[in-house]
Amino acid sequence: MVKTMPKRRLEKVGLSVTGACVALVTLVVLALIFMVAGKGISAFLKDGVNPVEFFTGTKWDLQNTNDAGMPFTGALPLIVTSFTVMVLSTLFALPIAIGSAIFAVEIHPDFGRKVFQPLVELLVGIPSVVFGLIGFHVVVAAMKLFFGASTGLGILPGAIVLAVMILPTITTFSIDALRAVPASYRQGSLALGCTRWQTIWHVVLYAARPSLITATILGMTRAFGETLAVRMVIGGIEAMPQGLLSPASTITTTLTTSMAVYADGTPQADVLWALGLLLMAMSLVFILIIHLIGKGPQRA
Amino acid sequence: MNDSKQTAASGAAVADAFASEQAGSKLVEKPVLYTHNVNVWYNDHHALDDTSLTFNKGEITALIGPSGCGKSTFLRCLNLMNREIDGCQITGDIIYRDHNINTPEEDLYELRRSIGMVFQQPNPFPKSIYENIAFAPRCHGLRDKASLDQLVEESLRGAALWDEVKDKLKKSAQDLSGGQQQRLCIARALALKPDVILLDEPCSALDPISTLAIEQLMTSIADGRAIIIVTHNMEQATRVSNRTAFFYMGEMVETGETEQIFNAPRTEKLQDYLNGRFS
Repeated sequence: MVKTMPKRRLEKVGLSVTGACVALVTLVVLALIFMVAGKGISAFLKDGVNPVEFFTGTKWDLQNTNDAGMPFTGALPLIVTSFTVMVLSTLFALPIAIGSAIFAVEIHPDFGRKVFQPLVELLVGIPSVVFGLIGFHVVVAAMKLFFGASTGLGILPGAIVLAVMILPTITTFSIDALRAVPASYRQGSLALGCTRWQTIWHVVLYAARPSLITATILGMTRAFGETLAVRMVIGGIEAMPQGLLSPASTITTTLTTSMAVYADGTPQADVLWALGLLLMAMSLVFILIIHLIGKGPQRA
Repeated sequence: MNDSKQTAASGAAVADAFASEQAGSKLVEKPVLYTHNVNVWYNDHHALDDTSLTFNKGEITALIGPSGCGKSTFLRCLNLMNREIDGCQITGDIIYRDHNINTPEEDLYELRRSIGMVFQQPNPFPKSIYENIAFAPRCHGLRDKASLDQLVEESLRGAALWDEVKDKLKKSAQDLSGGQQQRLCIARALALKPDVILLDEPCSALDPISTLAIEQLMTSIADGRAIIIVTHNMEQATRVSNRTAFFYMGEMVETGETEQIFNAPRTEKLQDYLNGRFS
């Protein structure tokens, strides 16, 4: 006779193993949040960084100190740059993503499934440093060529590189969103003598609206958090951007640049943690929005 | 079957032949829609074989037969919805308002505007009740708000739904019950003032009370229209239809007055079907 574990015990083992996994994940998430929040808030509480100054001040300079011996911690230029890059890249990517999703689902579903989607998924796998490299050698060069910009670095090339990077995210989710629209809606519309475009525009896209918005926000989240590729083309000057082609710096790029410079516990290091906290809070907001849309009244 | 692609010209010839054939008969009005030797292939599968049927205004025709017998396929030829299916080929003549619509040049949008269709599953759009009705007229160019308002009310009244929904026209159509949704789909078709309405098993997803409401509705909208209904429910066919056509294995086996079909079937296959020997 084969020796087996009694069933009751097996149940208990399964329960404790999976329960332990859940506990571990929960612990890591909570620890992460507490660490970032604790360090970030200590910039305001311990080091005396003025929160109002942090959100509205326009001078960010950690190397020099003012008369009180504090670094300049006005993060508004970084916040503005981050949001501008995010919004611009979404504006560039969204029409292309939805347009190609329409083609791949409504017009040539076979091509969409067999050729286009694998192609787009390939784009997801490319490391961001490669995007940055291409961005530096192609997009930045193009900026110099077309706009006569002196360095070619700045928000615009950053947004273009990001647009390409978030394109697969928005496209893939848009394709899923359009595929999820029941065929009966399309049939109903066609049977009423509406054209294919009227059907796509007024019925399919309309029905897929909540999921398309979610797709867009997922893209925006990625754009907001992406660092490396942006760092390679944006210029890295922590000042209020003077235009789309003046070197600037986002929250994330500032973090990477300054992270290793300052000793732990200094006001400079703590205020960088505050930037991290801000990033985390933003992604929380994005996730909340997605949840609210999911719970919205018009779940088709 | 071999002369697979018939032209519009031959369609006209068929129409003439039909007219002379009917000259001495009791029919006063020419049929609004009839088919001559319609065949359907889904790729290599021959789904419908040489079907010729006639539909008159004011009449309800039931298409009955076991699953997969070709009755829905035939129904979907009448507004060329089959053309939306990849690999589907329709041959033969479908004469609507005296011309053959089974041609590449046929304006599908105009055709489907005057031949309405209601599906098995109620499929209101995820929009408001008002928008569900106003959508198609808008697609066809009607923009005037007052006319749209009037049309929405008229169509909902026509589908016996107005009293139930008049206070919640802005509410989502998907909050209605299944039976109400199906009547909304009928109202949606009525808004385009069709003279033929095709119903593809419109009650098979509904409860008996909703079914009764739809059946009464069919009778009330049949005036001046040809109604063609595919149904699995033989009692329903006897309750609502004037004429019945029996399909079996892709073939239209027998057609006639509904009473004759159910009381005095002429073919053995129909007798077997009515006796429940296959389903």
